[in-house]
Amino acid sequence: MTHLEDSEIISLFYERSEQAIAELERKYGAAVRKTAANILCSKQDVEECANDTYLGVWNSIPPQKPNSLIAYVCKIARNLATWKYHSNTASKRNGQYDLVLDELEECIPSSVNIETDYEEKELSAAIIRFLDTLSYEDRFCFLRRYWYADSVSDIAAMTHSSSHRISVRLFRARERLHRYLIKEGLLE
Amino acid sequence: MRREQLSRVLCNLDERQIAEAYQFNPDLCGRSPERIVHMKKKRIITFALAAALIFSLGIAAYATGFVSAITELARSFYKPVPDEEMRNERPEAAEYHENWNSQMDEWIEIGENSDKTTQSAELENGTAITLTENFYDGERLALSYVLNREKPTVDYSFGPDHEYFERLSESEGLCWYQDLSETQYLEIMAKLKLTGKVGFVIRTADVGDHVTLADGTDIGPFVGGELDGYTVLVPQNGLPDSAKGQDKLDVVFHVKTYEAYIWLEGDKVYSYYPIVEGIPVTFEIINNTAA
Repeated sequence: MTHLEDSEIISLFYERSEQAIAELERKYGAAVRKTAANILCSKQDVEECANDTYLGVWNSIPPQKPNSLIAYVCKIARNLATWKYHSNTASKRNGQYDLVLDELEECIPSSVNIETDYEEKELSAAIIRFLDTLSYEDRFCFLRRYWYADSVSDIAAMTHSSSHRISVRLFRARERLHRYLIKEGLLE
Repeated sequence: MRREQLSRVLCNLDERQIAEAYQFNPDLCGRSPERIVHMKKKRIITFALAAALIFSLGIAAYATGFVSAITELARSFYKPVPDEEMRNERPEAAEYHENWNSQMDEWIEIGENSDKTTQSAELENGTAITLTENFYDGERLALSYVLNREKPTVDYSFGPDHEYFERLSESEGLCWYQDLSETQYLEIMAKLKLTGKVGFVIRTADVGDHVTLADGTDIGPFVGGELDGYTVLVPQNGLPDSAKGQDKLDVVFHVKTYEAYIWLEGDKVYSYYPIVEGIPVTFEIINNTAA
């Protein structure tokens, strides 16, 4: 099965062709659902999130012209999924994503007081800079775990490594992130 | 920081990095096959001989008690010393560093007082696990082990008739060749070139994530790491109550033979990893303070 190039799909969005959604679904539908399913637990929520993602892409391209369509689409899916996740009651939440947040709270503790959008963006920017200091493999594992919310065993399978090695790699990355944020003066 | 904020902070990460992590890129792997292929054969052999020699000397040194893997690992971590400025202006940061440093000092002390008597088990699957060092004082546990295993095997019996074939899923960027030798990798690529598709099973042994007590109680997540082939494990949240204050502990490692079912077709990679049962290996850990 061949897929259209990203630029061709974006062109279809610019032409306001409904085929754009079909091609986007065909090429990245699995990635969108996986991103949502790692955060949400009900199939219905995942389907709704996928449909809302396509609508979000339809409404934003044009004027947007993303450099990376997959990152753009997954980012919308993740935003919608996390919004839905936090709106859901505890019983409807996905334990896996809870675990991801628990791990991150080890290095970005709940005592950190962030009050403005600017401060949130500053913290995001620091994490982006930190990620650039990591080796490719460490960065890959970190993002798969804390952005895509993959399970440790899934990451192990992707990299053909053992889950233990991935756990150790993530532990060290969290330690380094904590120290980096302290050094940057963002954790007090 | 509230969890919603934490989620939002992550949502704002760089699209360049998100795209990069969408699939594992073998070209950027530390051990990519391209690099292996481009190395001169003689150099690979030299590397292999050197690695084998270092490994055997390492075993001897650790086994005779000159070096502790737990101590050496703790020394390998970065340990910044808070200065007066940090103590005055950022006391929380200083406290964090002091806690970290004191934890590492504790590991160093544990390593210096650990029992270096080795215990080994040879398994039917050709794997041998050696506990090179252990420490247990009724409250704290630390273990160091080495796994000696056969090189991964590649078996070409996998194909569309196999029961697992329908369980394959597309796995873009899967670094399936990471543990294979240059010869194994080239053989697979040659078969792929010949017919456009190839199926195979990679079998390799490793230790499962969970170390348990003899009654099945999971000791819980570990911190630690690998150094010179030695894996150090220290329970992250302390020991479960049933493991505290004992004269001895029976700890059980689960050595697993992992199987990766891989199907390559053109530039597509499909894979399936069945869940495998581990072979339990029990080591007796004596309370260092009991004597």
